[in-house]
Amino acid sequence: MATKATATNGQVHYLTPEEGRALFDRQARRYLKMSGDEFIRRWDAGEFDDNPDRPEVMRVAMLLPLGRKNAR
Amino acid sequence: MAGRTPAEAVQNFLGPLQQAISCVTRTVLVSSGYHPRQDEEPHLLTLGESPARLNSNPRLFLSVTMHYHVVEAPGERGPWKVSIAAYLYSLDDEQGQEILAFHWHPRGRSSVTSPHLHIGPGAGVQYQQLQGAHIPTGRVALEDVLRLAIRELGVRPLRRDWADILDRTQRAFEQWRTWPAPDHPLGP
Repeated sequence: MATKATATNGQVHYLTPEEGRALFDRQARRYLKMSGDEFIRRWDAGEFDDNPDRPEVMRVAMLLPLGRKNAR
Repeated sequence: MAGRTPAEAVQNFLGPLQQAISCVTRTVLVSSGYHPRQDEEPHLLTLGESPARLNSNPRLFLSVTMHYHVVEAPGERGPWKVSIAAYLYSLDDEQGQEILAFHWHPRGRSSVTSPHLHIGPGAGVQYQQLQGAHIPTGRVALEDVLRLAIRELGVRPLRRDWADILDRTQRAFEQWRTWPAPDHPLGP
């Protein structure tokens, strides 16, 4: 897993754009059974607007800054 | 948290959070970066392994995501500082059902933009209207949630000095935050 950082000295692991998108994709699949790209497409189309507070939707939506192609 | 450079400001922000997290899990924070952005998109931090399994019986799982901006700031809060823009802290049960979730997402699509608490299905609360309700809270620090997990929900801390660490890192956070101010009624 690209983002399974293990540093313990107080340093934080900075994700590369690729690692960020992989993390976003993984969580979209985990919580919503869809790819990150599909989540972005459906989010942008307003398909989650009826209840954006659903726990599984909110958790993926909060990661959107990692998933956008212009992330970084 | 302030710094002489954007990178230092972010390190001064994330370092204490990593210390706080280390009280309950060995997973580490991952972040999207420290460069100031012109497009108003936030940076974010989350757990490298999420949700993170906590040492408890029954099992609990922690999720943490925060949005932040790296901005220039005057005076002792500068020349660079980190400004938190949103947070999500949640605790799930072993089946992945949400028990509690503390949210603040002022720029999201939700109609509720102030800090609030969700009681999830994992809490087993029978009162149906609470499912999905937004229970108002003040601004909640990550340390508040970790302390709740340890003191009230049976999570076993991974280090003996957890109380000192959480007190110290939360004090630092509250010293630098701009709302609520320390002398605000919702403040410490």
